[in-house]
Order: sequence, then C-alpha cells, then structure tokens
Amino acid sequence: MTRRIIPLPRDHHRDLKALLPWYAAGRLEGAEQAEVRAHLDHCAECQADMREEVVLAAHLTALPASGSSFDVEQGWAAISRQLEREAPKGSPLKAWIKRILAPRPGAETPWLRWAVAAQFCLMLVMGGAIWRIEQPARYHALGSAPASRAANIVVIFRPETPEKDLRAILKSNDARLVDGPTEADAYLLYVPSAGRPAALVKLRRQTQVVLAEPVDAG
Amino acid sequence: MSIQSVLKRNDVSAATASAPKDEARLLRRIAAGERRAFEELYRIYHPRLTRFLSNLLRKPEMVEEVLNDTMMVVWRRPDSYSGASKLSTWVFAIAYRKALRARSRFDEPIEDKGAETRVSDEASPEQQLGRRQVQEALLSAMSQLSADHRTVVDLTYFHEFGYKEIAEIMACPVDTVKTRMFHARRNLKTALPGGLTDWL
Repeated sequence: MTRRIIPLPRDHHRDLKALLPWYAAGRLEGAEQAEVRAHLDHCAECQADMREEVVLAAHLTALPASGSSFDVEQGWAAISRQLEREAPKGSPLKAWIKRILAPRPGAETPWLRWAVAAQFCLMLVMGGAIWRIEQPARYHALGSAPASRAANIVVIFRPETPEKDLRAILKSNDARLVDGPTEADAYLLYVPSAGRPAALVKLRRQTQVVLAEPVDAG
Repeated sequence: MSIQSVLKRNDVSAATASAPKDEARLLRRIAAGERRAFEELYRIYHPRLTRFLSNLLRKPEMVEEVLNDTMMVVWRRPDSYSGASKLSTWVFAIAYRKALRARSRFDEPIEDKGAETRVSDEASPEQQLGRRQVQEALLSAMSQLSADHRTVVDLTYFHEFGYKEIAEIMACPVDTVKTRMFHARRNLKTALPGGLTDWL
C-alpha cells in the first residue's frame, strides 16, 4: 500500500501576519510585499497588528546598543598583530602563485577560474622556457654591459594597450623590460629594488594593467 | 509614526542597494591578499558585529575575540563566499556560528525551550511611563528572551535583514524564524504596560 502525504492548506492570513515585522522594515521583496499590502487593505486584525508593529519597531530601533563599547582601533590593532604573526613565510613568488590559483570569491563562472589558472600555469612554463632560451648570450662582446638585471616584477597589460602607452608606463616607473611578452602576454620587468613597492602600487593603478606582482629571482 | 511612513520607508530601502556591490569588490581584493581592503571591510563591519555580538553573547569580554575570529575567517577564506547571498549575510552567519561556539564554552544554553510558550508575567504598572522607562522595560524584556529569539529580533530591527537571510544566518528553516519572531514580539509587547498603542 502506498501512502500519500497530503499537505494541509496553509492559513493565508496567518502566513501574511507573520511577515508584518519584515514588511514594516521594508525587507520583503516585490510579490510578497504586494501581497501583504493587499491583505492589509481589508484585514482589520492585521491592520491593528501593523499599528502595534510600527510602535514596537520605533521603540526597538531607538534602544541604545547594549554592552561593550569595543573600540575599532583597538580591534584593528589586535587583528593586525595576528596578521603579522601569520604572514606567509614562503617566497613572494610562491605566495603570488597561491593567490592567483585561489578561487575568486563569489565567482559565478567556475570555468573562468580554471581558465585563468591554466593561463598562469602556461605563462609560468612558457616564461621559464623563454627565460632559459634567452639567457645572456655567450657570444656577447667583451666589455658589453653586465648581463641583464634579474626581473623583479611581472606585469600583464590589457590586450588593447597601444605600444606607446606601454612605453610610457615603463618610463614613468623607471622600469626596464627584461623579458616578454610571454605566451600569456606577460612582461618581466626590472625596477630599482628601493622603488619596487611604489612601482607596484603605481602599476596596479594604471587602467591598462591587468596584473602587477613582485617576482624574486632565485 | 504612521503606516504610510513605513510604506515610504519600503520605497526608500531600494536606494541603499549599492553598498553590497562595494563590499563584494572589497572581498575580491581581499582574496588577492590586499590588507588595505581587509582593513576597510573590518571598519565597515566592526560596529555592526559589535552590536550583534554584544546582544547575542551578553559577555563584553568575549565580543572582541569572537569579532576578530569572524573577520579572520573573512581574511583567510574569502573563497568560501559563494556569492549566492549578500556578503553581510555570509559575514553574520560566520559571526553567529563563532558566537554559538564561544557560548558553548561557558555552558549557557542557546535556546530557552520554555520561551516559546512563556508569556511575561510582569505586572503592568498603573501609572504611565516615560520614554526612558519604556526603554528600560524593553531592554529588560530583550534580556529575558532566549538567545535565538533575541538574535531574530536583533537581525530584523537593528541589522535590517529579511527573514530568509536570517534563516540562512542561523541555519534554520524560514518558518522557525517566523515562529521565533512571533513569540519574541509577544513577549516584548507584554513588557510595555498599557498596550502598545498607548505609546504612539
């Protein structure tokens, strides 16, 4: 014998009455809000409840915050100390790779995350390969400038960035092109180490720059 | 305050809908390891979480610890935000879970089962009370609510969450939220002597 569960009819009036606190607070969405509003037009009991709700809500929202007066500066100082203790101990490059591969919060397109991850993996592999191929040539003339400086920043520009903008950005940051574009259109740059933090900040602010991250050699 | 003014409030609420987008942007920067973005979000949520946790925990000495534990989850696990709900719902859900765990350490019951059926038995004074006395009566009634009932009231009136969001924060069915609100309101109303409409 099969048993069927027959749902009991819900009490429409009771259901809508239960929503009054959120209706009064403006926290109902379109259809639900319209339904409560229409019900209030003809239900005397809900109208009375609504009047009470308005008074109760006014008194409740006027209540002072209870308990602690916990200071935001004090709280931030405490959490900052914790962050310092937990700062990643690995190389900045490792931390950067970890961050790049970390899933994007709230991303609604998981495939994009994997595509980006794959792109950066490819970039690292190709970048490494090109770097190896283009090691300072052994046939460089005697007396030539010392082997090119090691890159300390990796940057990706928007694909549509004109070459003159790219040059201007490099110049304004006192940056030298060490390598690139790689397969992933990344460029490896060198900037004087003292100016690197400022250069990173400046590069990240450029609308043409998609990514700018520190890279440490070795 | 009239019903009309409340209805006007309903229309105004849509105008404040841009903030969650800014917060979601901050979370993306946090996921990229930007500590400045984390500080910004911390400062946005600090007053809200302080109020919420103070009401829920009723132990000032635990508020700082639970608040910072909550925000450390935001810093360490920004990827656990699915984007299906508002960022504030996610943050408050973390805070609620952290608070429950903290409360269990000092063995305070989370839910007062009797509160569902109990009606305040405080006698109604005959004389009219002033606004301050009304506040005192309400604060006293709030403190007598169970933690779960108080949380529903707090999230609705002070933090402006809808009942579906509250169900998500408290990890319970929406009908449970409505029932808790029903009982909480009944107890709060009886705390006001002379009936609520006298206080208009």
